[in-house]
Amino acid sequence: MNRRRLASTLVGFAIFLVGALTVVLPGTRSLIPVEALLALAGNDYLLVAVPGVVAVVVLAAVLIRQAVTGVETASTPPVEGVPTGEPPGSDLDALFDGGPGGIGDGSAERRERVRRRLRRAAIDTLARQDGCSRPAAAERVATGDWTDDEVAAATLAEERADGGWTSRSARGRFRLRARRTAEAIARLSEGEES
Amino acid sequence: MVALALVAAAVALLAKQPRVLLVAGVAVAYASYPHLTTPPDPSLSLDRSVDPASPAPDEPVSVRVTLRNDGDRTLPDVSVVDGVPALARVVSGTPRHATALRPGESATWTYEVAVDPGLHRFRPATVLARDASGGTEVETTVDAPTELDCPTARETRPPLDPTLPFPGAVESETSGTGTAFARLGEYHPGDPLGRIDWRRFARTGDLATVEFRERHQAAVLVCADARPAACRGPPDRIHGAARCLSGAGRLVAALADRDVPVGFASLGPSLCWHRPSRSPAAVAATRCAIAAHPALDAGYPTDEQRDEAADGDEDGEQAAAPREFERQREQLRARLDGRQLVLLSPLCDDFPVETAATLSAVAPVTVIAPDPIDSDGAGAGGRLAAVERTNRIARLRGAGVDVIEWERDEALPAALARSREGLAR
Repeated sequence: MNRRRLASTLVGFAIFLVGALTVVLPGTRSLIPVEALLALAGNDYLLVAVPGVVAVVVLAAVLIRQAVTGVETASTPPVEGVPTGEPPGSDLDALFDGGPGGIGDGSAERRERVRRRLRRAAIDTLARQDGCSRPAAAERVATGDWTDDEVAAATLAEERADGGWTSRSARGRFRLRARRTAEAIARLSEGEES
Repeated sequence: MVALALVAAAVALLAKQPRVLLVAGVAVAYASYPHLTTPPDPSLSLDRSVDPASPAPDEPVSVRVTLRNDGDRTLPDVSVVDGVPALARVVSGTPRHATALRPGESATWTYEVAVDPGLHRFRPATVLARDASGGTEVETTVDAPTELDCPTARETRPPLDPTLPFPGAVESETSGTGTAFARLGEYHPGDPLGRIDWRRFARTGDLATVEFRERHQAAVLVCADARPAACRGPPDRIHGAARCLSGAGRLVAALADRDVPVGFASLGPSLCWHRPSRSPAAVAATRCAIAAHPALDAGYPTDEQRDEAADGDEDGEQAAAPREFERQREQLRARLDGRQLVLLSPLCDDFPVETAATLSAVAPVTVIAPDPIDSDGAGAGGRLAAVERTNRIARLRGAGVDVIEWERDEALPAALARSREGLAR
């Protein structure tokens, strides 16, 4: 039981005991300003009805909440299935698809990190497929001489005409460019690019 | 709630309103009931029997579970989930049960599982005991150590000759002098007369030399990549770290079967280490440790473990490995002491590549790489991850490390046999 519940329960019991005391010892009634409260409320019906209605409303709310959401219980471990995990690349797919956490919402630094990852994958794949050295592969990626896809080539090229990925227009296009580049790298790996 | 109801009751008493007092009394009773009952204090014992205890792969195993209330109070509401081994499949019935137990009373239920080769250890059963009102719930676990030992197929031969090129006690793949027959080889002038197959010469007139298996020293360390980064896999399929542990268990059993001293290590939240040994007790302890490895738990990795293990870049850029993993790699390097290393890793990131390349400078290293990617339904990100993994394999091979690719739906013996055929060609 948390402190708030304990305090409210103690207050409730205290008031209940005062009420019970007035029944057992009628003389104590004079100590409670009942008349003043009645004058404030207007009549005795209101004085009784308001707390009663509040109690009934709260009771109904608790019952409805439990019927709708159920009682909070501990969850049991999922023992029937095998241990599973997210598929590799799911982080990139989430980035390409946009939405919360997507590239479009990310910082310029984050977009640059994605670009560096794509560039490294392109260099490694080119070196593996063509049997060239990594510096030679890096040179070809820098000049765009690794794919027929002009968008992919421009995405990883060192010189960009639009002034980088920080501008609003570039940011909007980067998601599509990154996806095109990833697809071009996959084609390169399968030997479909030259 | 109780307080409100008590306020209403007090006001009803003061104002002499019996109807309101009645309503308040109902509310007080309803809200107070969970606090009036005492919380359950379960004292339980569990008995579990399996039949057969050494099943064939995919053979249904009947599991009979009995839960007994050893306490002196009735447990009005008990929910139990048996601790099915992490890599077992429930094929019939359910490991879950709900019941009420009086003192001394027991409840029994059965279900069936199927397993792949290897040692499978049941985990503690989880029990939720509630009081009569349902307002108080106690969670506890009850353990009854039970194992399923599905024999490792004989074809699970080690992926490499597990011996070192020094005289010892283990028969190697190398032909030469020894006592166990290996094959008939071509005769070379100068071969010892005692090793010439004279019967064959008498029968065919051809000279051939009998070659024996040389006996060498041997020690193999099987290491599984159980880092959070390895816990990736196709949807609804076993993730890479669990496949590595499953494969490690089979290799340990296969190597021990050949009387090769075998040890086990795993990279993860902390370095798990079992020194190579050929003692049956040590091998059994190693296999138990693999079967009960924390990376097989459904809750692994937690978000906190994943954050700690992340290289600080959610976009997968190749940054330096966290210091903890670098420390584990150094520990492994110090303890390897020239033993051969078989590293199982799905190669989802660069760390295992750097580890294998680093350790190959001090010991022979073979990497077994279970494929965690389903390229068929993958998006552009999944296909790029597959390309990155292929590049990592190429880098390992370029560094002189043998890599055995363990395909998604392939059994480990098939992958090892395919590798041997490839090496033989």
